[in-house]
Amino acid sequence: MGSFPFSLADLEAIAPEIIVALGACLVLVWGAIESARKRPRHFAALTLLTVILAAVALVSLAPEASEGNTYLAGMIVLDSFGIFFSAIFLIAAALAVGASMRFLDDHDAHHPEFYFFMLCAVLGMLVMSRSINFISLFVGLELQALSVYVMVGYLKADKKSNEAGLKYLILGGFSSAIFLYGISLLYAATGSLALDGIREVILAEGLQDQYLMIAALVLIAAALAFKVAAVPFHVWAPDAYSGGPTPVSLFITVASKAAAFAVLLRVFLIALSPMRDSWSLLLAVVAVATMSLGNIAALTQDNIKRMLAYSSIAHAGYALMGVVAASTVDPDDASFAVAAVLYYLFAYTFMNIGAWSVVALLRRRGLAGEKLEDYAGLASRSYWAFAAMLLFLLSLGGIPPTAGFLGKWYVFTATIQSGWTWLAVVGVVNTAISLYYYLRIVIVMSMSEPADDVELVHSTPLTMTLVAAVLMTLLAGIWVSPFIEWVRGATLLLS
Amino acid sequence: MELLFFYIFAAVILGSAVMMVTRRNMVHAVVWMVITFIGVASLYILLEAEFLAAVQILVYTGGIVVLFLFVIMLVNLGDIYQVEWLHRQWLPALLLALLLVTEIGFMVWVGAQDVPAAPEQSEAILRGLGGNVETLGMALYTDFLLPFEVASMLLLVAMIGAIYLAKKRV
Repeated sequence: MGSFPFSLADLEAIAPEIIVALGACLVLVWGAIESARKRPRHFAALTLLTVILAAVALVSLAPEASEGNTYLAGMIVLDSFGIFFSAIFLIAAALAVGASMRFLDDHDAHHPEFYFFMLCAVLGMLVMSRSINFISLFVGLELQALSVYVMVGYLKADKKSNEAGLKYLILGGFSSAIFLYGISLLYAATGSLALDGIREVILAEGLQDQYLMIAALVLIAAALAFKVAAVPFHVWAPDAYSGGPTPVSLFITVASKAAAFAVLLRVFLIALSPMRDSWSLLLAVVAVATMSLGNIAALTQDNIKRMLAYSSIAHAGYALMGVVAASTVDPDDASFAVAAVLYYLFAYTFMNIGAWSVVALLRRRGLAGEKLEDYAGLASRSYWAFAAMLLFLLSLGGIPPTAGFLGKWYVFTATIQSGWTWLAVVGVVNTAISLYYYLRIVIVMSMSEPADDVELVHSTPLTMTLVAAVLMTLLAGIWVSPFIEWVRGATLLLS
Repeated sequence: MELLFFYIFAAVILGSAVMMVTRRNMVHAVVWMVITFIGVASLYILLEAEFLAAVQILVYTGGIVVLFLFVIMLVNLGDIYQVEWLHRQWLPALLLALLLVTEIGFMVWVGAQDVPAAPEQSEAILRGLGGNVETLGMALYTDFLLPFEVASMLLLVAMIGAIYLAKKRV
């Protein structure tokens, strides 16, 4: 056998991953020192530093991304699509650190391990979103999932957090097994695990309607629908999102979901693209069910975390609509639709993180304020918190001039352009339904009298997260052209 | 002949797996799990992956099962025996599972007919690579280096996560 087949270029290509892995290990080792554990904020700073360094590495990789070279024996690709998603994960991690510090202090659970799990989750997401081989894709997915299970069950003294973590672990493990089963059938039918290799075999052998392939497609679709929390595989989501610590929900409703969408787009638009006739209708039905059920279930919630959890299910439905639109054979329309999904996820990142960080701001008798009535009179208590929450809710509901409006508009346009008009109509109807419960929060916040035992806890890191989310929600809704250009560029090498 | 052995081993694996999940006594369940693992190791031998079979026996039947037994002995599991082991929804669950099995079984059965057989790995190629252990090692440290390293992080997270969640005071 020959010599070691890797060069420095391979290491450079995964520099962000290496930095995040080193940062995670450093947090862990440093956290073993008893005296250092007493200053948990240092670990938050180290995590932020790691994320910033990884972002710098990512930016320095960006110029080479247009070539779409593969590295490490064809496991990892350096393309602008992967860089776009990597940026979302790093942004979400940085904002989540800001939202976590005071919250964990107040719950007496500010340990270095939290940041270790968060960095490992980010590492898994980075690997997931840049893998073009099912093996590395699956390992990255599992790394992300395992870290997230622990994060959801992180508050050990809290029964709800324990329960949420356990439920998520069991159902998540189940869905991973289904994913593996799908991959193994795919391998049996095509003899390949590389995404583009699978596509070539399907095209060369005409396997589109082969029974094994259809079984594999259904299994993979089910597993990925679980990962993005789409109906009918969504039942874990409200429990996991509302039971887990608020900053963790903030992180996973955005980052884990975006990572799962990165995998979904790559798998369906590259490996399974010859089978688009089989999966487009399947995903369209899932999208309709996800939007409708998410929004209708959110209507009846009195717990704001559960409401936001159902709202995040509904948002996965809107994004899935864009994936359906991307199934069209016309390459221009397909690329437009993928760009719409990316823009939607980008907008969703900031508005959702913003809404959850307002939830992290509120305390009732020292613990997280979760009931809708806890938000009564927020407007008279803190004008700024009210204004921020109003902006995020309007953006989630898709009202201009916010990022959320543009995201919805983009996805609906792409859906109509690809000939899925009825789907777009369902989406618009759903948007109208969703406005009802978003505005219900606004009404409670502005009309009612404030409760006595509810307080707002201020901390500089959380304020910074909030300010960043407000700025980006507005900026991506008003000064749109650079963002549109970015997402358009990120779709280049996909279809 | 090979096919016959495959079916025998497959029957052993499936049968013992079913026995494992239906036992109420945890120690019995673990013993059935040992038999499942040995069945899997036999499949590896059938595929001429002797090294993998040895690892399967050493790590799983040797290490993991002993750990399982330790946990069962150390932790007081008295309550487990009181729990209803048949879910209230067992009938719909069983029907749906049967439906799924028939569906997927049918698709795999029909689909497998016209899938091209995997290319025969010729003895010469395997020998050229230097046998079982070397082949595995080369594959792990060249083609699958990245997943291999990520898997090490995965194990680290699993370990730290388990310790964190199990420890009373952190």
